[in-house]
Amino acid sequence: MTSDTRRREFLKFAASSVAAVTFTGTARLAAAQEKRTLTVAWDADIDTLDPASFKTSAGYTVQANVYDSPLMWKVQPVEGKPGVSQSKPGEIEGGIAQSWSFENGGSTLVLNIRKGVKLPSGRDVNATTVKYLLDRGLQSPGYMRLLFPRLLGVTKPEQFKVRDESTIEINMPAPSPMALDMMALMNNAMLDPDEVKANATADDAWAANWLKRNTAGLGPYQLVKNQPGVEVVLEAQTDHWRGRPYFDRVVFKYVPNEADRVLLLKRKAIDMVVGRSTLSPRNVKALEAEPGLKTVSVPDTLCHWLCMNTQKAPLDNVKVRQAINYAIPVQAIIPSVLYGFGTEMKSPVPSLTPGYDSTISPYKYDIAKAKELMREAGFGKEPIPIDLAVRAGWQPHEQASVWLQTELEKIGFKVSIVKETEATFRQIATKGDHQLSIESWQSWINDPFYHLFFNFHSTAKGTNSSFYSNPEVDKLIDENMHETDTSKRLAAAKRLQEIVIGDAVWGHLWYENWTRVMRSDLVGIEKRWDSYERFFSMKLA
Amino acid sequence: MSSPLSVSSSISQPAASSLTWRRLQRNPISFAALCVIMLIAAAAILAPILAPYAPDATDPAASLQPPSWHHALGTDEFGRDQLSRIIFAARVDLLVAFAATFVAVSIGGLLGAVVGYSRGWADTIAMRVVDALMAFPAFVLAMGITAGLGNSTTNVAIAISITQIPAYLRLTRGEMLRLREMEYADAARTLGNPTWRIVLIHLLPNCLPPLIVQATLSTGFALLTMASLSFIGLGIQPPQSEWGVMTAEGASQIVTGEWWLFLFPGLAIMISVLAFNLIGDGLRDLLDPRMRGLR
Amino acid sequence: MGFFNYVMRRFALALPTLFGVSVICFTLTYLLPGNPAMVKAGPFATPEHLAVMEHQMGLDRTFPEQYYRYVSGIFKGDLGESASTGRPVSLDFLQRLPATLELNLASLLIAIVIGLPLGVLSAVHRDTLIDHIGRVVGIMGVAMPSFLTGLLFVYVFFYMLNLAPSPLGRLGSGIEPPAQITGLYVIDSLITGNWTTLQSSLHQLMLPAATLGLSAIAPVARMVRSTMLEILESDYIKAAWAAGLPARTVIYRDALRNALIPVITISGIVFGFLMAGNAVVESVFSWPGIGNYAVTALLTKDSAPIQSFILFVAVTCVMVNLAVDIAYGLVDPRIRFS
Repeated sequence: MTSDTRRREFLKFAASSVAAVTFTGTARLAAAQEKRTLTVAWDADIDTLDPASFKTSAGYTVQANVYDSPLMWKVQPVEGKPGVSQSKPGEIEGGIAQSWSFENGGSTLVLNIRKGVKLPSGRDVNATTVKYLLDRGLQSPGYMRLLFPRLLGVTKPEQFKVRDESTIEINMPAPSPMALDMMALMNNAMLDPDEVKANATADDAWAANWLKRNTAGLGPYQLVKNQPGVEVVLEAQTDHWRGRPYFDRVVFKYVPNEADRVLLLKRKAIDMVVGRSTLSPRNVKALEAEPGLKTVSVPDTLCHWLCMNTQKAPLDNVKVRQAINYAIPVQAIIPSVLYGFGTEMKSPVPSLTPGYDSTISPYKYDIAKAKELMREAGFGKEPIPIDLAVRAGWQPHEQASVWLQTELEKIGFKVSIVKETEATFRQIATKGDHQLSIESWQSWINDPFYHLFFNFHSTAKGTNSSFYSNPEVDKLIDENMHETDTSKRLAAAKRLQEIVIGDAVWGHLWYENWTRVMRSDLVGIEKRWDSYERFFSMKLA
Repeated sequence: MSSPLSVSSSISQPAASSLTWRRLQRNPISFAALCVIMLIAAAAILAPILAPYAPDATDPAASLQPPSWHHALGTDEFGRDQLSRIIFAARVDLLVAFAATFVAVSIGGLLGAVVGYSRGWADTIAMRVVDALMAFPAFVLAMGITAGLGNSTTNVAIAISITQIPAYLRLTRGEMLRLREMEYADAARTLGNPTWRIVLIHLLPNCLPPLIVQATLSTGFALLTMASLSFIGLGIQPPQSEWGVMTAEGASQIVTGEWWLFLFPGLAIMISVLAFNLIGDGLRDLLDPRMRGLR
Repeated sequence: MGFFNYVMRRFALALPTLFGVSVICFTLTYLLPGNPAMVKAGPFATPEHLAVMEHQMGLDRTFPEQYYRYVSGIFKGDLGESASTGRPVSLDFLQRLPATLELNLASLLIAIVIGLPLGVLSAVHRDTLIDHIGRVVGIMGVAMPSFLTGLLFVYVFFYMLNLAPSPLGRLGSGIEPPAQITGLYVIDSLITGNWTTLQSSLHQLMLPAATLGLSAIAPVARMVRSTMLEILESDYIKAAWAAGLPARTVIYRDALRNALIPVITISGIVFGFLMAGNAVVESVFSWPGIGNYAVTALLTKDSAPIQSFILFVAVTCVMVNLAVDIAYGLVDPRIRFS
């Protein structure tokens, strides 16, 4: 019996000490607290940090803070929203290049490199280092080697020419209205050529493998820890040319579950939730009333639409597509799905983009009109079975699909909602096997022709999600992509909107606001066209 | 090879079902559980009569209302009546759970009976495959299969079914190995019955009791599997309302205070799983007190 | 036949199972929709670049060839590369595995600590009110979808009562992990005497382990109950009763001691059961384990992590079963000759 007693005593002791240890320990450790730290939550891992490649939002967010690009989109305070600034169409400011000018009637862009900027290795940034990053973008496998030829007509590295120590010229075959925006893309990140070359291998001349997980640049912050599934830590560069950032550290906590992100905000265990669609509009609405938190919501260029595959019956019939546009209950969707954090789409061009015209679209919710169009198209007797694909977990899309289903069934469809995982959705979309789906798109270069090209040009494979093909549209886009006469360009943009709206290529849904929830004393929020957070400007009021 | 996951072989002679019924009544908890399942099944069958609203009827004016006289269990963000959706969801849930289990019992039982009776190389191969399949926890396998096939109602049922087959196969095979040596099997053989007749008519029915116990427990777990699949985004799709999807969607909004969205469908799952388990437990005690198993 | 031979024979029997596991695992990922090369190359890859990637990843080969590449890769410790973290899966796995093991072991402990007495009580008081309540309580734990239990726990204990820490993984903010010995923070901080870390890791472990442990109480209790019933019916216990030994002694010394042997089995099975459950629970608590990793990978069609997760879980189950068999062989020599 004695052994039993002893065992029981031990268990009792063990249980009580465990309880003591677990329940008393709410005290936070003071270590690392003297440093000003901003703790944010997100839901993604960094897939790659290679500046030239396309990546997850987590990869881009970190890149936007650990690298600098030659130019930057300028921001202006948003009226009525203290502590928040937003970029304005056509406004650019210096980055690594302090200033710029155009020569040869606009077909040569000259960048003047900022003096005294040093790479982490101590070497100075000069025209040669800038040329290296441009060369790498043009030639390494990735995203930039598609954009340079398409947008600037740059196909050979010789077109990036070092003029002198602090001047580089970009020689384009013709002037491009998108040249400055292109230089603001953070994919053009300032790299240390020596460090990249040191890590290049025989079959990987641009060190793409090394740059996936390492950084070799200078930005306001440095990446000091990247543990997937746990956290990413950035630390401020004390001698950055912009000045020392207010927050010494930015800690990104990986929180895959949205309910947790909301509770962490409510408990003030984090300062902010970053990333797009990391909080559903409904949760944002609920958090608006929470003391100590604030919601920043500003209009953005992010488009959401009902994508109709124009190559698939019955959606190849323009009358059917028009009918669908008349059956979209967007007035009900905006309050009940977006809780007001978005606005009605009235054109395939975003409302903040030059050339946007809200007066062209005749579409409004009108079931009688929709039914009539369906009759004219020869439908209406038998219900037409049709699939509507949405991505699982994209809450506003899932919810909108239910509203759309109800309305489309009124005009003669039998809608099956198909929820697909992100990867499956993309693959089926690229193959052209979706009928109806809800798509979204944001143009980082806020230019109507950039936007129209990727979404409506018949050669834009993989991004023209409606598989729309109209020679007249192609011709107008091609002719005006590089047009320098602004009024001519805007007139063409208007004409294009008329055609695309007339052809009812998209089912107009909404433009989503850029919306973030954060502690109420956080100011210096800067929202640029690419919509990724920059932490160097943030501070506590 | 005795894997601990299998329900070990048991005695259980052909049991008169009326006796079973009477003895089940003596176990009040299991009996109550049986009544609960019958009630839910009845509600599912009579759904169009019982449900106060059409399950998919949206009503923007009545979105997110807490329980009231008009909507006994509240409404969701589309203004759909929760009570009606839960009642209609019982159809999908029970149908998928029963169908998956039925198919798995049929396939697993038949294959198990055949390989158990014939023994030899077919048996060896079958058991190796079963071992490999049973190495995968049911949910992991279901997750993989649903991701592979796509998450339609049928595919979710198929995935759940596949995860169950090995257990039934092994169970029946074990029973069959024992039964084929019994005197009445010898008698049937001596009388010149064809093999299929001996297996199907004479022996298989006697393998059923442990199968039934396992099937009852599995039906409950099928509901949980559906719910967990929904949570990770691989659940049954709309517009079919399904308890798991409703709970998972409701739970993601736990913080906005609409407790009725996850509580009621969650309770429906909980009560059903509880009931299936209690019935299974009751049956197990009744048919063989020494049986033990999991899942 | 010696014990060594017995162990070798069990190992030999496990080999075809492992082969089957690898085939099933490979087939599953082979059938997954989505093109892994496309995932890896990103949305703006040119067709040529995509073709190069497909060739590099061996996706243009036949099914058996790809299977061969896959298996030989495993033997070389090459589990492929994750598209969503850009790192070798083996590295991600090594970092995440201890988190999952720690959570599972803690849950197992909770399940046994609660399930064992519950099962004994139910057996001793068979068919009484105690038995019924015990069973219902046990099953309740498993009948709730674990994501719901988890979210409710977070809501109540973290948000409302502030008793639990933020559901942010294994350690509180600012706490450094202990020196890596086993990778289990609780054990490592105990060994190194790092009390702050021990406190923080136990604190963080509390809710997820309770959530996962709840779902395993019923299986444990059920098995203990049936084993106890069997033993209580056995001849030697009947003899003990007949000898007039006090009830407490019979039940708690003789019967329970024998019923403890099956606890080995139970632990093995429940461990496999928990392996499946953790995929959901880890996601609720931002727990950086392999389950969470697999779920994310599944949704983004990141095939290498999915393959590795499924394979790992299955192999663990085979190994646990093997260990249980061997343990039985040790305890009961008769089994060795069967």
